[in-house]
Amino acid sequence: MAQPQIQSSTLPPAQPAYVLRGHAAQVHALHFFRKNSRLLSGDAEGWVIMWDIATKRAAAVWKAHDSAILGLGSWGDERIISHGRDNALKVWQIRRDDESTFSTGLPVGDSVTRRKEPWLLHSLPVNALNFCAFAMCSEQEMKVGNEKEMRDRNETQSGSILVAVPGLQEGFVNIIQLPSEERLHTVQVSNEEKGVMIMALQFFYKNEMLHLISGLESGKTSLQIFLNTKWKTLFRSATHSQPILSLGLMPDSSSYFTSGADSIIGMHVIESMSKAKTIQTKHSGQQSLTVRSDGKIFATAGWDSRIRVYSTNTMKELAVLKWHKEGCYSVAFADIAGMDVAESATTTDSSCGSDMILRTVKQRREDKARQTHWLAAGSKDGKVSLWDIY
Amino acid sequence: MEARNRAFQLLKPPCVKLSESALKLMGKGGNIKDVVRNLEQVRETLQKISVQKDVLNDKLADYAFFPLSHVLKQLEKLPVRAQELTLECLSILLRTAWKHHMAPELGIQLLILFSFMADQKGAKTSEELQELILQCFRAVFQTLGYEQAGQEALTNTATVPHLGKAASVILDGVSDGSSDVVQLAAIEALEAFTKALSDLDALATSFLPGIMSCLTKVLTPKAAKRSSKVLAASLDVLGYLLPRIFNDTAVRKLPETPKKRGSTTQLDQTWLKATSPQIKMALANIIKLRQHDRSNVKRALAALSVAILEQCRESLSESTSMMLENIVTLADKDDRIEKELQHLLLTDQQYAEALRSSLHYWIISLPRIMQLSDDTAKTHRMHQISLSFRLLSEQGVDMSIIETNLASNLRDSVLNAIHDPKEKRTIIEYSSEVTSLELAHLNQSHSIEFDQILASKKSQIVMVDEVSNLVRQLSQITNSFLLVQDLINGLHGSSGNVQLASLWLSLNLLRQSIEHTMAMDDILDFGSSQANQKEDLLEQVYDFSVGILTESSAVERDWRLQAIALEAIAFQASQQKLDFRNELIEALYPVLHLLGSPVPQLRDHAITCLNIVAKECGYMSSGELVVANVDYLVNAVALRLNSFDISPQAPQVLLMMVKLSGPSLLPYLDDLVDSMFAALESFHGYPKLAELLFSVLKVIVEEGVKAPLLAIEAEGEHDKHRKRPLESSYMPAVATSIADVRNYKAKVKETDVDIDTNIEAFPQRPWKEPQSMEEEAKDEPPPPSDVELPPPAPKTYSLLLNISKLTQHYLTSSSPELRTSLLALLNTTFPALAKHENSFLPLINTLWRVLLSRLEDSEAYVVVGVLNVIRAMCINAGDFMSGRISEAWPSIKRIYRTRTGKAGSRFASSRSIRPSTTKTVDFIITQQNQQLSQSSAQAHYVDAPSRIIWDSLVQLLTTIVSYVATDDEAFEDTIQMLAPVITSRTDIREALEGRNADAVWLALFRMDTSKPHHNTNAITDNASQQFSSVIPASTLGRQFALLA
Repeated sequence: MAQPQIQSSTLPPAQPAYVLRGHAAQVHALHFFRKNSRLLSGDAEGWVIMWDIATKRAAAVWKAHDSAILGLGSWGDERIISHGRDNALKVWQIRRDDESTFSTGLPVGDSVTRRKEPWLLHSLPVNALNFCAFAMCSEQEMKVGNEKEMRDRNETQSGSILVAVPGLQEGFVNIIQLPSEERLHTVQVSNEEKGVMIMALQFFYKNEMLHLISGLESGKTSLQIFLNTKWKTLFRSATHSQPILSLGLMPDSSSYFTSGADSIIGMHVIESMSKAKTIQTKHSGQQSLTVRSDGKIFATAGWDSRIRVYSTNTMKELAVLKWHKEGCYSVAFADIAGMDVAESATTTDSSCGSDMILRTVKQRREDKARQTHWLAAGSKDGKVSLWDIY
Repeated sequence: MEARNRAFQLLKPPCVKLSESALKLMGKGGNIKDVVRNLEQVRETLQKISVQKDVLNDKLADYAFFPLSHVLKQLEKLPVRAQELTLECLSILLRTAWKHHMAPELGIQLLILFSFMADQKGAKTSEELQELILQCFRAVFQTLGYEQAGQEALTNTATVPHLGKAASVILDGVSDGSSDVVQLAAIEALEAFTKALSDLDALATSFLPGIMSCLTKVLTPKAAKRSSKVLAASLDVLGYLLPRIFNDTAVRKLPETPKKRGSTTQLDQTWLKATSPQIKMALANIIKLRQHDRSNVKRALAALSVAILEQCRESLSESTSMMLENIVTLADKDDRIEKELQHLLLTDQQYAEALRSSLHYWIISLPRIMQLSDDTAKTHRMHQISLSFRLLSEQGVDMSIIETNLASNLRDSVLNAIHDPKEKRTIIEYSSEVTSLELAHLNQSHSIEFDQILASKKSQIVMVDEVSNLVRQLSQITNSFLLVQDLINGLHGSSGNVQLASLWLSLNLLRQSIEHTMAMDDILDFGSSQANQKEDLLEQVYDFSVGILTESSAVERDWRLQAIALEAIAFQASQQKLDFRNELIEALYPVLHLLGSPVPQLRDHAITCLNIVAKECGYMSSGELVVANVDYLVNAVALRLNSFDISPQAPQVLLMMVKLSGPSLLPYLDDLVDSMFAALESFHGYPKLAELLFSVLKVIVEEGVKAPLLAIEAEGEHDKHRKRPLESSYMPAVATSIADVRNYKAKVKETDVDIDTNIEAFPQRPWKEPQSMEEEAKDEPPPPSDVELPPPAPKTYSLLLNISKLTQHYLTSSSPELRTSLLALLNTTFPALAKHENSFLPLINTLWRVLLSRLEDSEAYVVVGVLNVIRAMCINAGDFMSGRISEAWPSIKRIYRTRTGKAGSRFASSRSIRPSTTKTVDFIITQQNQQLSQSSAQAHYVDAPSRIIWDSLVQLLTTIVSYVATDDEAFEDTIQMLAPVITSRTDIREALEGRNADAVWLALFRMDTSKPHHNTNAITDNASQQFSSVIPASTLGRQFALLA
C-alpha cells in the first residue's frame, strides 16, 4: 500500500501516544502540574478538565468561566489559576484528597449540566477584552541565591505570587499580588498611538529584578524592568509584521522566543539587546509557543493544525507533528528539568518507604507517566494530543 | 512321646502294607494297584501326623522312608500316580522330619533320584509330578543348606556332576516348565539351590552362567505370556543371587590373579572383569521389563536394582548408572519404589551425584529425543527428568551444573515437540462473518480457561502436557528465575518457533512458580525479594507480550505466539487484579483486536483472555469491560485508523464498541469517522474494506439516530409533510357544496377512525380550512428562519450528516452489497437528519443525481434500495421533492414497465379483507378481481426481483402521492400503475383518494369495463348506482364529464 503522503524522512510519521477527547470546544490552554501527573486543559466554552496523565482520564471537570479560557496556571500543587474571557481571573483550590469528589463527566458528552466546582479562593475582575493570557511569577522576597535555587524554592513553597494581566487601558499592564489581591504596579508597555493591544505577556525575575515582556498587536515586543521603584523600558523590537500571539521564555531567562500571526519566529537575547534572530517558517499563524523546561527545544502550535518542534540553539525545525485536522491553539511541555531519575527515586522513596521495589504497579505507571517527556497539544477540534518525543 | 507313639501306631499298618506290596511287586507277583492304594494310605497317614507339630521325627521318618525306598527302587514300573504319591510322601517328610536335619548322603541320593525322575518324558510324567519333583528339590536344598554337613556334601567334588544335573533340570523347569505352577516351583527350587550352595566359587563359575542365561531368557520382555509371579520370582532370585556373588565386600577380597594356574574354579579380578560386562548385558535385557504393566514385576525389578546398587556398586560399576536410570523410571508411578530411591539417595551422596550426571545427560539429549517419532521414549525421558529433578532438589543437591544448560535445552525440546514438518502455512482468508460472530461470542462465552494451542496433533498434545509437568517441577526449584531470565533474554533476539517456545516456557515457569509460592507464602514469609524478582520477570514477559500484540498487523506473526501473549496478559491480570485496570490503556485494544482474527483458536483465546481480564479487574462481564474502557479503545482505534492500518480488525472493534456503548460514544468518534473517510478515500479500490468500513458507519448511524435529541419524536412531527386529502376546489361553481363535502369527509373520517386503526398513520391534526390553489401548489414551505438554527446534538448530527454525504461517492461502487448497505444507511439517517432542514435539504440535493442514476442499477435490490431512499426523502422533505420527482418520473415509469414483470397483477389476488368505507363497491370489484386473478395467477409466475421492485414501487408511489405535490399527469400515471392494487390495499386507496377521489373512481371504473365479463352491464350499473349514492354529486359530474 502506498502511503497517502510521500514522506521525505525514512521514519514513519510520528503518532501521538494518546489523544484526550473531552472538550466540545476549541482547546485554548494547557498546563502540566503536580509534577506532570496532571494536565489541565481549558476550552473556548470555559470548561476546565484536569486529566490524570497516568490513566489518561479526567480527574476533575468543571466550568471555570462563562466564556473562553485564556490561560491556565498552577500555584503550588493545589491551586489552579484560570483566566477567562468573562473578565475574571480565578484561583481554585483542588486538594489531592478531594479529587475523587469531582465530576468526571466530560463536556463533550454533556456541556449543559454544571459540575461541582473546586473551592474558589480568589476571583479577580480583570480585563480580558483581547486574547492575552495572564503571566505569573512567584514573588521574590529574599534577594539572595541563584536562579536554580529560587526556582526550586518557588516550586515547592507556594508563597505569594505576582500575576500580570493586560490593563483596561490599551498598552498598560496591571501587576497584582496574590493572595493579597493587591494591585502593585501598572506598567505602560508602549507609548505608541496604534496597535498597542497587548497580545502576550511573560513575567520573571532576573538578577533580582522584575522583568516584563509584552508582545503587542503591532508585532513588537517590549521589555520592561522594575528598577528603583520605577519601570524602565529596556528595549523594544519589531520582528513581526503581524500581531504577536505567544511568547516563550527560556528557563534561565536568558532569551525569549516570539511567534505571531505571521510566519516568523523570533529569538531575542535579553542581555545583549542585539537585534533579534528570526526564522521564516512559511507557516503563518503560530498560536502558541512554549519552551521546554530544559531549554533545549521549543514547540509551536499552528493554525495549519501542525505542531512543530524546534531546537532553541539553532532554531532548526526538528519535527512536525501532524495529527489534528484542525488548527492547534495551544501547546505545553511536561516539566522535565526536575524529573531526573535520582529525583524521582527520592520522591518514590518518600512516598512509599525505603523499599523501592515494593512499588505497586500503579505507582510505577504513575512514575512512568511523570517521567515521560510529554508534549501536549490542544486543537480547535477539542482534542488534546499527547506526544512522547525527545 | 505319647503323640509319637500314637503316630507310630497309626503309621505302622500302612507302612507294613506298602512294604509288603512293594516287595511283592519286586518279586513280580505284586499288584501295582495295591502299591498305589497303600501309598495313598501312607500319604494320608503322614499328612495326618504332619499336622501335629514336631511329632514326625527322624525315627518315624526313617520308618516311613523304608517302605518308600522299596517303591523308589522300582519307580519305573509304577504309574505316574504312584510316583506322585511317593513324592508327596517324601515331600511331607522333607518338610517336617528332615527339615533341619537329614543325612547328607540321603539328600544327595534324593537329588539324583529327583533329577532322574524329572528327566522322564512323555506319559511317564505329568505337570503335577514335575511340580512335586521341583518342590522336593527345593525342600532337599533347603535342608542341605541348613546344615554344615549338608553344605559340605553339596560342594563335595563327587557330587558336583549330580548337582549340575539337578541344576540343569531345575533350569529346564524354569525356562520350559509346562505351566506357571511348574515354573514357579522351579524358580523356588532354584532359589533354594543358590542359597544352599555355600561355595561361592562353584556357584559363580559353574552355575552362574547357566542361571543367568536361563533367567535372562525368562525375563526378556517378549516373555509377556509368562505370569507376573514367575517374572517377579525370577527377579527375586537374581536379586539374591547377584549381590551374593558380586557384593562389594566379597569382590574386594578377590585376589588380583589366580592362585593356581589352570584352575577354573577360582574367582579373581580377571574373572570379575570378564563377567561384569556380561552381567551388564543380561541386566540390560532384563530391565526392559520395566515396561511391564504389573506392579509386582516392577517392584521386584526395583528391588533387584536397589540390591545391585546398594551391594554391587563397585563390582558391577558398569551397570550402576543403568540401574539407577531404571529405578528412576520405575519410581515414576510407584510411591514405594520412589521411597526406596529416596532412601538410596539419602544413604550415599554418590548416588545423588550419579543421578545428577545422568540427569545432565538426559537434559542435554532431550531435544534430540523430542525429534524422534517414538512417543513413549519422549514421555519416558520427560518423566525421568522431572522425577530426578524433584528428588535431587529435595535432597538439596547442588544443581548448578544442570541449570546452565537447562534453559536452552528445554526451549529446544519444546521447539522439537511442537515442530510439525508437515505443517503447511495456508493463506488465511478474512471472512466478513467474523464481525457478527465476535459479538455473539463476547456475550455468550464465559470460558476462563485457555485451550491448549501449542500443539495440534494428539501426540504433540501429550508431549506438551509432559513438558508442562516438567516445567511444574522445575518451577519449584529456587533459582528458576535465572532460568526464566535466560529465556526472556533470548526472547527478543529470536524468532519463529524458538521465540514461541521461549515465551511459552518462561510464562509457564513463572506461572507455576508464582502459584507454587503463593501457596507457600500463606504459611511462610520468605521476604519480598523473591516475589519482586518474579514480578519483575513477569513484567518483562508481559511487556514483551503486549509488544507482540500491539505490533502492526503488517508483520506476519505466528498466531500461536499471539495466543501465548494473550495468556501472559491474562496471567498478569490475574496477578494484579484491580491494579490491572491501569494497564488496560495498552492491553485492552490488542486483545479485542484479536477477536477479529481469522484464526478461530486465536479468537477463542482472545475471548477467554477478555473474560479473565474482566473478571480479574472486577467487571461484571467483558461487555462491561469494553464499555468502561471505551475511551482507551477509541484512542487505540483512532491511532490505528490514522496510521492507515487497513487490517479489518480496527473497524470491527469499533463496530463492537459502538454497539455495546450506544449513542453516548458517538461525540468522541468524530475524528475516527474522519479517519475512516480518509481510509475510504485511499483504499476505495478495495470493495471489501469499503464495505466493512461502511458497515461500521452504518452501525454508528444506527446508534446515532438513537441519540436523545435526534430520536424520532411524535408521529405528527414525523408526518409534517403529509398531504391533507385534496379538496375538490377545481370547480369554483360548486364551491357551495364544499361544506357538504366537508361534512361528508368528517363523517367518513369518524367511521375511519373506528375502522382503519391498522392503517398507516393518518393525519391527526384537525382539518383546516381549504386554502387557495396557489398556496396548495406550493405546499407550505419550511418557515423561513432568519437565524441559522444549530442542529440538535451538534457533534452527532454532523457525524451523521458527514456520513450521509459521503455515500454519494460510493453509490457507484462495483460491489452491489456496498451499494445496498449505503442505501440502507441513508434510510436510517434521513429521519434524524430531517430535524435540521437547513442541512438536510442540501444533502438531498447532493445525493439526488447519484441516486437517480442508480435507478438503472442492474441489481434488483439496489433499485429497491433507491426507491426506498427516495421514499424516505419524500417523507422527510415533502414538496421539496416535487421537482425532483418529476425529473425522476420517466425513470420510475421505465422501472414500472421493465422491472416489475407485471407483478402487480399478482397482488390483485391478495385481496384485502379489511373493511373499507366503500364496502359495496369494494365487494363487487373484489369479486371480479378474484375471478380475474384466479385465471391470471396461474398464468404467470412472478420472479423475486420483480416482486420486490414492485413492492417498493408501490410504496414509493403511495408515499409520493401522500407527501409530494406532483402534476396531474404524474398522478394519472400513478393511478394507472397502482390500478391493480387500489382495490386490495385500502391504505393505497386512501392515499390516492386523498389526492383525487374521482380519478380513482374513474380508474376503477375503466378497469372494470375494460375487462370482458359476462355480466358487465349489470355490475357496472350496480356499481354506478353505488357510487352515485356515495360520491358527492359534484365530483361525480366531473367524472362523467371526463368520461364523455
